[in-house]
Amino acid sequence: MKSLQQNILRMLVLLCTCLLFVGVHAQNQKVLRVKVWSVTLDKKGKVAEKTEADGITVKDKRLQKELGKTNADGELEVTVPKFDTELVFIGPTYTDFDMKSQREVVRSLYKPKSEKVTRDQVKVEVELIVADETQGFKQATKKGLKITDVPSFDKTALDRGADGTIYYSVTWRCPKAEFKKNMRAVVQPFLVLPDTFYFGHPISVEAEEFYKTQNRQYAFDKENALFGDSLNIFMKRYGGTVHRLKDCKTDTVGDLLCYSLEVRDSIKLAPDANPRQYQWLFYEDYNRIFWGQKDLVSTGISDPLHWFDFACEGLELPEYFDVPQTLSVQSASDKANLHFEVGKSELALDSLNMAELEKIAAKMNRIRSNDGKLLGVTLKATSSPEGNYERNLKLSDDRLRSALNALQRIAGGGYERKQKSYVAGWDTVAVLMRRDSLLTEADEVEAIVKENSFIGTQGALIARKPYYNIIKERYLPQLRRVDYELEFTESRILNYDEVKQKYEADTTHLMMTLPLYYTLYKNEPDEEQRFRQMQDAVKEYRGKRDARMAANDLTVELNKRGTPDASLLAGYIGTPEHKQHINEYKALVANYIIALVREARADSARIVAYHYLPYDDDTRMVHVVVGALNNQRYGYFDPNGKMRTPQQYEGASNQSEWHKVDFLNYISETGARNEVAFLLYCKKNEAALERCADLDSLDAVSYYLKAICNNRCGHKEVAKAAYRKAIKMDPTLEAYSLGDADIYDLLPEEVKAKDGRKYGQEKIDPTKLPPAKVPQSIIKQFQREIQESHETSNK
Amino acid sequence: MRLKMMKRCMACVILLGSGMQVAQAQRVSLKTNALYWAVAHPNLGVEFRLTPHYTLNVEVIGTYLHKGRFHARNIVANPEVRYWFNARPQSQHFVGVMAFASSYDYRTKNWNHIGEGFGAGVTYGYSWVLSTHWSLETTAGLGAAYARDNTYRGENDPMTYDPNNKKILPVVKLGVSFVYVMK
Repeated sequence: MKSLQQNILRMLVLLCTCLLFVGVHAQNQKVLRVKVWSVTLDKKGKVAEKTEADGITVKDKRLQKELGKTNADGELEVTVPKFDTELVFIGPTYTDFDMKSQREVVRSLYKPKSEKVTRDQVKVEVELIVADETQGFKQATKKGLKITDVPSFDKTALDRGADGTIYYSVTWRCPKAEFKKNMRAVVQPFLVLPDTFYFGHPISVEAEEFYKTQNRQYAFDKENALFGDSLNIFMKRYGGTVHRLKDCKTDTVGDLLCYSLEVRDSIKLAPDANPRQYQWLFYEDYNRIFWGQKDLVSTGISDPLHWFDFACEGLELPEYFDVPQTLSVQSASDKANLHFEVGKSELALDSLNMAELEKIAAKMNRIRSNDGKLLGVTLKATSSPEGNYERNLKLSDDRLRSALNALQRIAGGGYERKQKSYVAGWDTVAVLMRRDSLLTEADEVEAIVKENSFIGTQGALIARKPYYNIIKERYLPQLRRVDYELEFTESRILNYDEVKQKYEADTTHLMMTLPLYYTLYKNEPDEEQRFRQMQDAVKEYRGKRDARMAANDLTVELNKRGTPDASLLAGYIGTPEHKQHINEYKALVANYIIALVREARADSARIVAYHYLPYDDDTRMVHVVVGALNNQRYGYFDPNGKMRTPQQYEGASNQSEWHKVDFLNYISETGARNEVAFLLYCKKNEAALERCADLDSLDAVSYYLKAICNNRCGHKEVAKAAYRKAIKMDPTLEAYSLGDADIYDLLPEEVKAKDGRKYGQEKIDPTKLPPAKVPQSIIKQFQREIQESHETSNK
Repeated sequence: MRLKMMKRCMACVILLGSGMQVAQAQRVSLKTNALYWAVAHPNLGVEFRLTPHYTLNVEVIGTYLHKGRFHARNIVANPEVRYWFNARPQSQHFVGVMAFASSYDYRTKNWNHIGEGFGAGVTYGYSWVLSTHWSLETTAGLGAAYARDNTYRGENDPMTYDPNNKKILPVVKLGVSFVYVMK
């Protein structure tokens, strides 16, 4: 008893000791709640954005242990010992190329941070600042250099041609005082699509001394593959251009005088591609690259002229261009149930055969009575494969000749007779057998056909089969047939339904003539179908004289859609026929000029307008726009409507009969909307904003234009309000705005999500993108030249 | 004898300079100092590019004038190693270490100076790039020369040679040179 009591006592003591230990241990632990924020600073150092930071690794410095990672809310809850310690916060890392050391380095997305934690502290909240990836460049910046005092790029929009060509601008600007004589700026544009990116042609701007000493540096052969300037070689290979300061303009930004350069370029992408444009900019001196940045230049396509009313779009072409529908060649075919006696070539003129012949003759006579012309009759006969092949073919020919003779006796002549004979193969028999579920037998027949190329041998082997009688009685007669085809022309014009039927029946559209296309699309009620039909017509008959109307109509439609293609009409302008019929070609030339303007080729448009566009009420607006885009204030037109020079006007004796047109005033007289659209197109954003006050306040398009103007001038909130009003008045504008670079950054996220294109990420990490699309032919050529240079130098 | 040795040294310097490999054309520049021409000292220099930052500049200056009682004969060889701060041929700042060897003979009515000198110094200069081939270079240098100079007064002073007549003289180099970078 005593020992039992002692044991119990011992156990109680042990239990209490354990509990005490646990209690003590528990008192030395605590739950620590960590909250991490991600903070982005603007250029002035103020907080621009603050969000929860997920994926941050939290380490305990004292324990030398990783405690965990923050979740999507930036939170982490851990149990830690209760003592003073220091927590270290480490963000995700990525591999980058450091310009200063010219090596690959691993960078963190955030600036490193540590936070001391006392023993009693249960909550820690820290802010991690997003590291600016250009930090490395700025640290290497020369002391006192202030390159970023002005924007290095102009925010531009892309333009798109109908064939998918994207037109973009590569821009560069630098304060004059900062661009030293020993510097070079290199700009590399690239266009980003959701899943890939494309390099544009790079440009470099060399200060004068840099340019001259560059020649000296590389023994006056900058483009030598081995010893030359690698950047020059790259430029030459990939179509880049080297510019000197004298190629640059001088403009003023604030108080600063700057060098600026703009180079227009283009790249061919898929027709529906809507890329964003980024640019890398680097500065280097004689010794190193010391500064760089990348920036978003364009969020997409901008087309203010979409809202411009040229007033002459859709000018009908005169009758001169009409192409009347010609008599169309038709054909009708059917089966002729003519039977022949076994082994005989003459057609027996029994009642059945006669009835069949008379049926064919009746069709022929019906064509003739409808004022049609019967061009030809073709009889086609198919024989069954048993027996001698040549004999079967000759028999078939003789039978057809006999049938045609009989037909001619009944229906008369005056048409072309044609006959075609065929001998069906045993594989056709197998197909018929398979249709009747005789699968095993069909396989055997096909195997015989496959193993024996000679039809006679095939027949002999098949004839030995036990089921040959079934073949002979059921399938061979089906192969013996005569079909006829009547080819004729009808004197009537096909109506829209007949043409549409013909168009849809023939997917290759080989039988569609231009007049049929004109009948088709001019009567087509559905817009998309009409557009497709026009495209088919131009694709089939591009460049042909009679296709002028189709090319014109398609040009007008493409102009309206904002995907102009001036090349459609280019072949018709300036031809001898055009020069003889200047007035008749007026509408065609006007549409061509509008397409050129929309392709940002105002200088070409000016030349065409000068030479070929007569001046009248219909074409006035075109002349005005072209002149204004070419910085002309006035246009001078003689009494015949021909554009002349100011000197010719001054020297004319009958000036009162001339037209002197003030271009800018005329645009404003046609309405505020036109003027605003035009000013936006010319990138005169402040003037456009001022003119917006005169826009019709009840119009959805007016609000849309106000949104563009305010956005371009930096008034984001006003722009958003105007955009919301525009969408409320006309919800269809939303779809257009998704592809409009002037509006895209105003769109709410839920609207952008409708786009379906996954951009959203303005931080492009080129190491994570697939390689740029440089043509393989260029790469191989480059490699070949390097190899040759090596071989030459080794010799 | 000393003069003979002097001439041999100068010849070696000139040969050394001209013997440098001229394989890469832009590594050679020709130059002439306009200031020396202004004081009737025709001169010609060649500069060889050794590395992107270092060049070897060799100049030869000479004169021979004889008019009445005035007689001047001088020949100087002046090699110099330069460090260019820009890794570009003949552009912007440089510093250099020069050496020179000279043999001279100046005589007027009242005095004669005949002797030879050797010395070294440091230079600093700046080169402006005028065009792809041309540069304008300005140089200033300071050094010291060890000269064995014999001075004689007047015609009646017999010409005697004093082997202890040695001097240390300060030397100043100034130059405004036109440089042609050869292709």
